[in-house]
Amino acid sequence: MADHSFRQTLDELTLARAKRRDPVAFARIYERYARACFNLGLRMLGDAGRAEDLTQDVFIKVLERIGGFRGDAPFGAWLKRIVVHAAIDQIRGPHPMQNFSDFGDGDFPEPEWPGRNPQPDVGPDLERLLMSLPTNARAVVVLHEIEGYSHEEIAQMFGMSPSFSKSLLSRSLKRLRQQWSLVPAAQVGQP
Amino acid sequence: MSTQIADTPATDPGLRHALTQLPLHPLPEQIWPALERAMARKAQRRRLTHWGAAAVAACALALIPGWTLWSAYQMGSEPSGELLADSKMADSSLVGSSMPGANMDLQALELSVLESEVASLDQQLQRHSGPADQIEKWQRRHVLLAQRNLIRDPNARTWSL
Repeated sequence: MADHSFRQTLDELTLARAKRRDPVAFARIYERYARACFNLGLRMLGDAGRAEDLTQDVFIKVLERIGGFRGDAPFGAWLKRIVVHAAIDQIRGPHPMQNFSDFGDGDFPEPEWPGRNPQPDVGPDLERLLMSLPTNARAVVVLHEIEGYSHEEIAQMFGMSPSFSKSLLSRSLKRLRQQWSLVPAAQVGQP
Repeated sequence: MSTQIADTPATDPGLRHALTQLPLHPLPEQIWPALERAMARKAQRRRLTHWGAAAVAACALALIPGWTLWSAYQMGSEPSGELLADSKMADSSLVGSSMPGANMDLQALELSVLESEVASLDQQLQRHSGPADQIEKWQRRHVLLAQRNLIRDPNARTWSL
């Protein structure tokens, strides 16, 4: 199965060509990393349309900035950082997304999906629970639990203190655990 | 309160594992065509900016002699030797007296900068690079040559390259 994650390596030749604005090399980078960008955007923003726009914006930024990529970090890590910053800019932008960090007890709105979740038998599946979290809380869970960022890094990206990240993560995981515990372990692929 | 939160082991290994195993959604097909259109628009804007900058520079260069004459006419006299000397001093101070060629005429300086940039572009064009890059360099070269020609002959009204 093809790897579509940010962990893939990018060969030097494609990178050098992309730096010279070679459209074929750029298309190759898109083919390899666009799915990871879209999915990270979708999980952070909780909206397929916004995630599509984000992916497009990110690749335009890549085209503009790739000349300055020095290779200190792997290309995937560099790209992931662009996606994360772009998503946080959207979350915190002039028109902040609704449901910013309110953990109200009412029903959650249905998230917008590009298609049905590929795990149809999981019941109240984990992704659905994740999407039901408020925007900021979901972003912190995705960044800390899935993408491996530290609280300090997340706090810096949001321009907040680390206790902001710790507090949101703690409350979000508590909620996820409560609702996820209703799902039989065998159905959600427990280790 | 925050200490309590910080001390609470927030991460649940089972939950974390399940989160990292979430399947990826397929990539919507419409992103790439939209991205291609956006890139084409951006490239076009960049080209227009190049031409726009060149046109503004050309207009400015063409207007300066006219403006100087008009000012002299309005003052009712020919520009005096003193005025010319002042203007030359001002030009020199713009260039910076510590720089090499500080006394060089501004037009000659500008011409030499343009010539060296064209020569550098010619060298770059001889090396292999992507078609988009080559097109951009050729366009830049044409703009520079147009600027150079206008400096050499400010009365020229055509954009002959």
